[in-house]
Amino acid sequence: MTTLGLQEVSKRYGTAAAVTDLSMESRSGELLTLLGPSGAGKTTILKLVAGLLQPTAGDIRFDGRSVLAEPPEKRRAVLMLQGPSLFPYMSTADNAAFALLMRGVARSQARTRGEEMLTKVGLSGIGDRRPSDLSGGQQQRVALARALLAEPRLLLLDEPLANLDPELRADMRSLIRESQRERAITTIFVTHDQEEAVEMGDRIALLSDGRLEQIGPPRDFYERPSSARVAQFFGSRNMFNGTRRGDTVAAPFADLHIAHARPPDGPVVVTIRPEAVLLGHGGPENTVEGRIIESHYRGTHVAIRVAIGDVIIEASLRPDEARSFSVGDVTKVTLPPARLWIMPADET
Amino acid sequence: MNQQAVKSNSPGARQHAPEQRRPRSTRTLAALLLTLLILPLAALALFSLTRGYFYPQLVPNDWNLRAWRLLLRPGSEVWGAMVTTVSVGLAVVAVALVVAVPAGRALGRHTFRAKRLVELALLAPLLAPPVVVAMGLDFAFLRLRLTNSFWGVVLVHLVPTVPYAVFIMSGVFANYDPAGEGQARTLGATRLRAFRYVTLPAIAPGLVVAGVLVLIVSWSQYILTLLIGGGQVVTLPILLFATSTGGDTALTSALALITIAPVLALLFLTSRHVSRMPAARIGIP
Repeated sequence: MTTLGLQEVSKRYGTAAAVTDLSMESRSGELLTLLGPSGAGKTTILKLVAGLLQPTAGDIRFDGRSVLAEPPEKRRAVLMLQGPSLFPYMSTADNAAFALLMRGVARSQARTRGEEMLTKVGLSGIGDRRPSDLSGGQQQRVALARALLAEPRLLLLDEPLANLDPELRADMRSLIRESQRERAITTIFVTHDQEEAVEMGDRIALLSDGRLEQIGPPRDFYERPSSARVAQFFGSRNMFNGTRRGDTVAAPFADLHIAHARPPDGPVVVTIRPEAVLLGHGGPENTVEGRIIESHYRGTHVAIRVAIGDVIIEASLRPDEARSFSVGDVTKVTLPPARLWIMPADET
Repeated sequence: MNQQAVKSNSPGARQHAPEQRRPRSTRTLAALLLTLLILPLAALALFSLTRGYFYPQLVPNDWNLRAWRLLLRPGSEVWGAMVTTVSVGLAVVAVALVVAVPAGRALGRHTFRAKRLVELALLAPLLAPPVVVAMGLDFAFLRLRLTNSFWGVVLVHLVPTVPYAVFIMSGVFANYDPAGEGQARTLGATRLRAFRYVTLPAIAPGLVVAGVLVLIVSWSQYILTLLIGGGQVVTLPILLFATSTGGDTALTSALALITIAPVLALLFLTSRHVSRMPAARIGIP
């Protein structure tokens, strides 16, 4: 139920910048995934929020109040790390109840509540075991129970599923999501896995090189990427350069009509989702000719790659639609103006 | 044989089979070391039980407990020396570890300017001859009025012991993952409690090793104790040297055994800890 605000936060180690001028706001009770390649500064951000690191510049606010002066134990921003992070010298129940013990709750009462929480995450009757006697998946459940018992204002998850096999990962994802929704805990979930970010996040913040690239609901990253880099990270295949002049973009193969006001005139990158590309029946606008060079059956759809001059465009068709196209055919390709998305060309 | 050796090294195997068989080569080596250690002690034991033991006697022909009776009688100065040696030793261990934990952490976990220089400075007292060090320190201690005092001796024992403790702890911290501390902090543990519940259990085996080594080094100090203690602080080695100049072989032998016995007992009691620590974790350069 807490909002987290980062205001122009920077963190430098010597001359190396880990986070640069980062401003973002999480909404109360949402799960925000921090997505980015390794080295993008995701873990640094979590540590800054948790209070384990101090920012070089900027402010960090919980519910609008700066927490920079507060030590980690006062912030109640609970970190959950990847891999085995349980305290190896304590029993499972003591691990789960660690936050209560630190708060001075009597041992017997802490133990009972620890056992209760363990039951809630699907582990009953293992309170006396040592963490080393538990499987990786069980350890992560205990870590989640431990984090939840701390009654966090913010839950900070640092790739907590990275070391689990796919089946366990799916279980753990829904357990985390359920627990977080039920208690409306504002959660920051760090991952480098784009699929995981999309599946888990109410919103996604995409980072690269310590800077925020884009923040918004998962859908935006596919349909309205803010830059070619974002589009690339989200696996966009159909990208080509062009120059915008008014309502048209001069692409290498034709002048295309566009329907978006931004970005302004100048060099742009154009992208379109494969499922928006039409083949065969010529549309009223933006129709060109291309040669089919590849066709891949993918079960639910067929991916057909068409060469238009030097540019290759992928179209995604239903299997029954795709039957009339074969490799080598020359066909009409339509790129509907409303579905073309244009981004400023990267400076680099 | 080889497979057994590999198996017995895994932590799991150790937990379930404490009495595992060791390869023959290891046992031979252990027997050899034990012989080398025990033979001189056996000779001392023989000497301590007789008035005269001369060539060509294979064993002494007159046995008596005179030396032992004399040394272990109530009111013997051996008891006082024992108490002093133990007190000095424990005080040195306590101070050395308090210094070694933060210093070892800094050296083991962080890189900083002049780190090599600090490491070299740490080695310096071990490289310089103790007499030289002691002479210089004696002047300084005189001025600080620390000579002839218990704490003066404790302080001077830190010179040869702190380097060992720091090097052992820096090896321990080099292999230590501090993530658990951060985890504990965010769960509401103060810095002190994170150390108590997370760091301390993790470094405990290293602390035991460092503590034992420091105690042994302090236990066997002679020159430093003599110069700074000025004969006022009488530890077992001081007593032993004084006795040995008296020329009573039986007395000297018995006292030598008394001096070394507690150290050996301690080594046997803690050998489990020491042998369980991988060499890399002990990290003596």
